Amino acid sequence: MDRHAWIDRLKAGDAIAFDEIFELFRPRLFGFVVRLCPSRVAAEDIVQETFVRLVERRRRLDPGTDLGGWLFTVARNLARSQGRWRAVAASASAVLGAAPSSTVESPMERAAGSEALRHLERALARVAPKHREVLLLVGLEGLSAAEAGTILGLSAEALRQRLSRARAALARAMGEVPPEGSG
Amino acid sequence: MAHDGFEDLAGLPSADVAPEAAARMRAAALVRFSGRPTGFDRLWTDFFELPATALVVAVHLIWAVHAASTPAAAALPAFAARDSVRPRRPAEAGRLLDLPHLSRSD
Repeated sequence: MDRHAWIDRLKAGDAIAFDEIFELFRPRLFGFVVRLCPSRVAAEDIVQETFVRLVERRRRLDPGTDLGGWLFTVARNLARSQGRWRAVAASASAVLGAAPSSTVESPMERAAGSEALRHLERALARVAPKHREVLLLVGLEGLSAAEAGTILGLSAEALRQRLSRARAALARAMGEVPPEGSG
Repeated sequence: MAHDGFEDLAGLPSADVAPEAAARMRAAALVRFSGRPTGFDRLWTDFFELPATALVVAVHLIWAVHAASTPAAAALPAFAARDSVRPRRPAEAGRLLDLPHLSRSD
């Protein structure tokens, strides 16, 4: 799997190159996006749109583009756009007296195997999105500060500060969320 | 588990879409491979990859540069342009054309 040739092969219309990229990044993108939006269907739509944009914009990609970073950036921006739309919808549903969707247990929370991990998923879901995304990129995806900073549009120093605040927010959320079965 | 949970994030379960959803996503993207480019890419491709379009653009550019550098209207005397279109009475036309029978008709 020659990652350096991916963009050239995509530009040439090589569907096998797309499949290699799709198989490698689809689970990673989905794991990132599904933890940013509470709906699994919405996360699937975002991942699909990310890959559609990759194909549509392949001719304009520079051969030296970090493809993983590009995909995470597009997915993150789509999730943010949808988040803003959902905020409007949530305020409308609050006016109508509907239950806010954040009270519903997320799919990832249900999927987490152990009680400790379910606790962590619930705490993570309570952290603000701007903190959650940096926690996911660095803590879950294992990206470097430079890679995460590029995706989030932050300088190295700004990323370091945000990560520090995000870890503090996660710690607070871990304390606030009662472990399962504790009442 | 570490105090703030950060070190444990790497242990969160991996996530993926259902096989049918993955197939749908793949099909939605691959259809863009087989079809013509869309949106801006299509415009870009059509405009610059067609030799006829490039030729037309080049001819128009040359014409525009030539027209801008040649003040044709300014070179003509104003009265010439005005007189050339003014209707003439037969007698005046006769004098201009040296036709006496028309000159006398006035």
